[in-house]
Amino acid sequence: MAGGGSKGSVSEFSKQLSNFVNALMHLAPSRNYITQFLYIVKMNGSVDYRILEEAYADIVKDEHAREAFAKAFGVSFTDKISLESGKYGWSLTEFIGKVLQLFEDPDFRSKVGALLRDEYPQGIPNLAEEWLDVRVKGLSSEPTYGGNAIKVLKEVMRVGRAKMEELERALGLGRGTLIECLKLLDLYKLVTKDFDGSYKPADDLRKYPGVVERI
Amino acid sequence: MNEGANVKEHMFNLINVLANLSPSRSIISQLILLLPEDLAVVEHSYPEATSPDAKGILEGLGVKFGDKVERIKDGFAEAIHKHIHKTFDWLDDEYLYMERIHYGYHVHDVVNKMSEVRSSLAKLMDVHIDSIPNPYLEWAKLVLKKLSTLYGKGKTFGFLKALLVRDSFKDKDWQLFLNEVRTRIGADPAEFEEILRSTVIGESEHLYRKGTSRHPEGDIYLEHAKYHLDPLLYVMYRYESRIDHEYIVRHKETLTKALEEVFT
Repeated sequence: MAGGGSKGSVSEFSKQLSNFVNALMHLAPSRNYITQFLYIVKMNGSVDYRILEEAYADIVKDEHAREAFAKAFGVSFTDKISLESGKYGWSLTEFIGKVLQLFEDPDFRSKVGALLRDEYPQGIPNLAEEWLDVRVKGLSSEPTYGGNAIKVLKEVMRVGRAKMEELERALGLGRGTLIECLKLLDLYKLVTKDFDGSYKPADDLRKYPGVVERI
Repeated sequence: MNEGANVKEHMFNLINVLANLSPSRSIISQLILLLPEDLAVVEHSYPEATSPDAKGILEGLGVKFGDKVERIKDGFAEAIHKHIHKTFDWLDDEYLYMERIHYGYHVHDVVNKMSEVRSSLAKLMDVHIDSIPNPYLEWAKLVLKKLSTLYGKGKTFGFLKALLVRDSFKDKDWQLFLNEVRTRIGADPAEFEEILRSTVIGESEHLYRKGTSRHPEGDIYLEHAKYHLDPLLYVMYRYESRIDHEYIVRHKETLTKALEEVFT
């Protein structure tokens, strides 16, 4: 049943490893539009229909796509969009979470990178950091509030935690604009709201602050 | 976030990636699926996976090497083992899920099947349903080819063919069926036991509890056999004064197709 590689051949294992790693990498939400949509929904629990209608128009506005996503992945489309517990979309996103964890492990990346040096001369990418990078870039390219949302994010990161009024004062933004910016930051899970109403950077931003500094 | 993305193209890529992670296409997935196994067997069957470099990477994936090679609890290997089974079922329209139904104040858990996966994906991608990869079918063909060399064509074929004619077996039906089919295919008890362990029985995985937490009506288990064709669900029904048992046959169409392709 096993493959027909030569006995103990390192190159046969490298070939198999390359296919395996390549497949895992292409499941990442930073690299596939379908898993990105599913993962954003999973991260949020549920998202307002009108928000995803803009962000993922070709899935949410298309009746055939909605039907396929509902039947194949268990995506529920009502005034909110969510993943039905236990259906395939749910279990696939759970697995993708494990893939992101695996590729965040520097020891795993370095061992794989050593064997696949020709294919990945820059090393094996950290998919968790890459996914954060895509979310930050996605935020910055949002046409109406993207620029201000990045300013808010940078301010929250600078001070560590801030309340709405403090952000208003520091950035000179109106309350309405600030609320929309914070909604976007919450959608991409870049900030978390504390019990006292203050906002602080999400855990992965604390680990990889360079992602925002590069914007 | 992903401007100008093509849904069809990304769906096509996703399905291919999922198929490429299946054990018929990846030796790494195959090895992980078939664990636990004796080290000597792994060294013989997967020599490429037992070099020091390969072992280091497999350990990073959550595989433990000792006299026995096994998956570490909660490691990545455990996650992909689970994921392979889910994808087998998903792309063969056999994916099971629990649905909570509310009757007034009462909540009832029932098990349902995602049975329109392949047709809805084919419709979305505008392709024929048969062009959607089926990792379970690919794996079944590989396993059946292997089994045909181990026990001879007739015995494995005879057993599976008889199994796939049925939808389910209630209580004593199962033992009667086994006795009858063993005589019919002419397998001795040890040989028959080996055929069963390779194809239908082994480790039971608890999937769901039926009924309500106050009034449980039964439990559903997936039977994992050695090669994970896993064509049987075991259902235990609880009544006030008795417990009934049932085996339900799954992946019927696909396994029948695999049998025809491999054995004819």
